[in-house]
Amino acid sequence: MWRPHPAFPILFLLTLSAALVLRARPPQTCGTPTNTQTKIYDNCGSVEYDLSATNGYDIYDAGYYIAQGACLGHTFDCNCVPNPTEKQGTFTFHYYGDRLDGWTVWWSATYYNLVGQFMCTSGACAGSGTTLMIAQVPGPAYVGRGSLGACPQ
Amino acid sequence: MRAKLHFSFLLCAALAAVSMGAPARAGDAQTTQPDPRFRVTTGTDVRGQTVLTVQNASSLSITGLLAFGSEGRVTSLRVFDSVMNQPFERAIAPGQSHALVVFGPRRPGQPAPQVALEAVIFSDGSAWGDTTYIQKLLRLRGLAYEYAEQALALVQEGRKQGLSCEQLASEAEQVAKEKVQAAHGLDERIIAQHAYDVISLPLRSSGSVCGTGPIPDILYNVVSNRLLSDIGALEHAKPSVVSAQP
Repeated sequence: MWRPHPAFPILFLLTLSAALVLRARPPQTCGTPTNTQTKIYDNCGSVEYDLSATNGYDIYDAGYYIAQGACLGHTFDCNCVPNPTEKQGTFTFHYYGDRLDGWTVWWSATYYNLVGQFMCTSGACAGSGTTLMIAQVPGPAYVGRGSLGACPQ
Repeated sequence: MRAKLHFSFLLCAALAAVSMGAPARAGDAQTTQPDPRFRVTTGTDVRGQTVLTVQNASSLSITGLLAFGSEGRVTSLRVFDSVMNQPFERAIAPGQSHALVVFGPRRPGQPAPQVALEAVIFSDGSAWGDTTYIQKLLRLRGLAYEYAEQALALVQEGRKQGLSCEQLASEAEQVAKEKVQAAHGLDERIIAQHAYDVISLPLRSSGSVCGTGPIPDILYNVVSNRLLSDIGALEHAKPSVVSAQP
């Protein structure tokens, strides 16, 4: 029968502590901010992201955001060809600043939530209406913004 | 027996490790009432995020909130504005609450961030909080109004000239670039970029519907109605906007 070594619990805890310390330690290089957008789920009509940014030294974790969108299978173009719809919102990452003063970072969201009827004047579907999904842009402060400190000199 | 002890020890260690990284500590919530018109609760949500919730205890709606948080060298500024972000946000009606995520889940060993509500604006234009932050919220509204009017003028002029989607989108992008470069401060840069994104993004994403001819009615209406709606909402909040002029 397998029996763990008597020192196993201590070794286990040491390994665990080392892993946690390594995970919490910021990366070693400091420079232009980059962002991470992890898609948490993508239901019909909404998509959730986990947003964070780092300059390699500080990390700004902006948390989870849900971008609402319309829920349609597809729209049609003027040749009656179904178009896959962009049903989910997307986030665009922005930053401003420099190594000496630090950076401000933010995300702007684009929501696709409006469907309209459009009368085709050409193509196989000329003379008939086709459905069209149009991007709508939420307000500029919809997603908060954060600041990352200057790079250590 | 010894194996059982080892197992129990390992199980406890594993559970401790999981709980360090896990969210859901509802017990850390703290509620204060800095003003009879609202209550503020700060705490950790089920995901471990630092959240500030404002409950409206007044008879008026709340249209603006600003929360600020710091976590060492990192700061977080969160804004709720139902006037600027209509129709995506709705005013917080009497009795209702609104939660602002100030920071995402904490990493293991990371201390709790400092979080505070800095400004509240009510539907009648009255406000509570730090003057600097109240002015910041009001200035954002003022800028949004100004830039939405300029963007609408560009769309209407483009319509008169019979511009195509591509031509108007390009013009909006070019003007945005110039306005962003000339803007004073980050708030104005963000607002300026946004005002012209409202034109260029729908036009760019409408594909074959646009064609090479003048902008189709539906797209013109979508863009101009959105800007008119923004202007209308901001104009309604004008007492606040006017008082925000530096």
